[in-house]
Amino acid sequence: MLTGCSTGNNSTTITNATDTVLLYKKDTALVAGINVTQTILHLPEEKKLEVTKKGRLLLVLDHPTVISAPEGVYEIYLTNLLNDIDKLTSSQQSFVSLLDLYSITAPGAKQQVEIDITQQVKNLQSTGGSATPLFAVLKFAPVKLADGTFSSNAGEIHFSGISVVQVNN
Amino acid sequence: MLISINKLQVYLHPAAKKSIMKSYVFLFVTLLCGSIIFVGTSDNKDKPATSVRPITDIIECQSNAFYSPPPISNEEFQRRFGLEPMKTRKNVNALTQAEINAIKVGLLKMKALPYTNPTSFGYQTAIHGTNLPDNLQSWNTCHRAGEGVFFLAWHRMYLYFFERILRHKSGRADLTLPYWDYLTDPVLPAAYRENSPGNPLYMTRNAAINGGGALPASIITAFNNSMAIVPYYTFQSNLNSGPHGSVHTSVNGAMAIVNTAAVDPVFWLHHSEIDRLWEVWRAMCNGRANPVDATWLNKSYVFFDEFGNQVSLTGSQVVEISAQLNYRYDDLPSFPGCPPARPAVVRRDILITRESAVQLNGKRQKADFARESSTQIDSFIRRNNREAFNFSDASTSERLIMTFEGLAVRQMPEGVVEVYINQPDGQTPDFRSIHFVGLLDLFSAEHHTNHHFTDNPADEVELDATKVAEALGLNLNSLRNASVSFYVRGATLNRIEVGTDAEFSIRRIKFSLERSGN
Repeated sequence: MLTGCSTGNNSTTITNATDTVLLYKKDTALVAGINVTQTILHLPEEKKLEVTKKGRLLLVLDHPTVISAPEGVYEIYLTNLLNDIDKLTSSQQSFVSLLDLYSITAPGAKQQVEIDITQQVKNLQSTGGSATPLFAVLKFAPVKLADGTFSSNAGEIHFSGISVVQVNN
Repeated sequence: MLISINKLQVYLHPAAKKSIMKSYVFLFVTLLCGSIIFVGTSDNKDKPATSVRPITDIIECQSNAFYSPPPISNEEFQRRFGLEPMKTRKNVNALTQAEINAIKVGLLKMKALPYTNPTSFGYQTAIHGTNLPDNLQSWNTCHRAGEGVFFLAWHRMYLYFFERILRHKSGRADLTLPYWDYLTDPVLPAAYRENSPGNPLYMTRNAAINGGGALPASIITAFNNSMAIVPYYTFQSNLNSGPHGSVHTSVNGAMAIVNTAAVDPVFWLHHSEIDRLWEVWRAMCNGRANPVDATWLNKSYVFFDEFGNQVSLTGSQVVEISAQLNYRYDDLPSFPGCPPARPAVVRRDILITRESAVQLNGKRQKADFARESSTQIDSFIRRNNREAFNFSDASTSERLIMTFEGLAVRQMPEGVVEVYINQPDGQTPDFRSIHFVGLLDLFSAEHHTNHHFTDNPADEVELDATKVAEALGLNLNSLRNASVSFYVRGATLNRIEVGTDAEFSIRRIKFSLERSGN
């Protein structure tokens, strides 16, 4: 499990079935009024995560590279409870979606995976918890084999950066 | 050999090489390229077949060079394609062996054709995406940049014409593309996993999936989450980028890459299911509706029918699968349309008691609002500049709703609990009086209390107090001094009320104004 890994231009790697990539976000710098504001994580702690009525928050994973394909999917969660990470399941509110590695293979596709996290951030705020610190979690969910066991092949995926983007639309 | 010039569109099959080696071929694409292009090949038998450059690669018109017919009219579409009996797409697990065999026959016949033939498997799959350098009419249109908003409509058209071709080749008049309902059965159907010689449904894929493994459960959750989204474009985007793509990559092999995905027969199972889920989503109503903007409705794409003829369809022509495209899904009834939307209702709390509002243990109890803060009423009066309720205005009718929160029952009465507003002290409550609001539903609350449905809102009971407020002549100012009385009334035996008590508590009582209409 990789904890506290983040961001910027450093490569983030998922290497085996037990890896969970955590993005420890102390804060985000979101500039309102600009169409798209991209902020690399590691942000000033004082700022509050803002979700405007019209805007959307995207978690953006840059340049995903599939070194080897997983036998399963990667689930994406957003939570502010680090202790919950081992217990995350897709039936929980913190479940965002699945990592779409298919669309990026289209010719001319943006080399980014964009995940809308607006609702999850709102959920975190409405439940009284501050949206920060925030953990974006990528969790491997394997294919269930015919004999009832689970595949242990999580593949290997690299990202060149992770960021949060506010889109005003 | 195949050299066909069909409305300025050129197909050149590599097998034609020998014939064209001995001659020069003049191709006129003047109207599109703005110049006359001369393509010549010399007689050179040592030249490998693959060296015959596709003509589209030589002329640099790319996809814009192709003639696209205008969208077919609805009448013409019905005349050409709508006169056959209604077709039914079935769950792949419900297909008979004969139906599976027909699909195999159709695929094998399509695969036997040269890839330049628009009804061939190679051509059809390249419409979705291909690594071939050719850029023939309609190739690589699935993930054209900026056209993601047509994801569902484009695939519906694509499947429709692929299905027509497959049916025609199979020789079976009722053949349709089956769907894989992975939400119910996440294991790839056996016919597609059977690695036997000549089985065109089999391909190398994720070993776990081909071995009978099940898709991860979170794919199902992600699909369900998508279906809960009401705005069309948000629903489509969420469906596309999460669960749809994850099925592609979970199956893996050719399916995981856009440019090869359609080569895997599972692609057609998968997208039949996506198309079916679009119909399921629409039938869920409650605001769900297909786009009505002109851009979406008028966007057209070119496909080929079973005879290789170009057909151009628009978004507006694929919104009703039964009425327009003459097919349905075996588990979905005809879509009758959604009921008209109910007018929006806005509810605003105007008066709320403190916690522990009522503890009744016996026969009667009273909650007095005069002791409560009424700042919300002050705010409402200030904002709306009125003290009167607006019960009678038909266009914006208001209702006064009482909510009893946190109702917990410890002893049920052998009778009922009556609720009154401003019941005079010293008088026996009478349910025929203007003070009577209604009966407190203890049954739901008791069920809640004893069955620990902690997330069930049944511990909230509501009563409509509009008529009582009207009869008592209440306004917003007088409401702040209201009292609410509870009276436990026993059943009547020989015209005599049987004495009974109750024990229950109410955490909070709330008055709200509900406003509906324009």
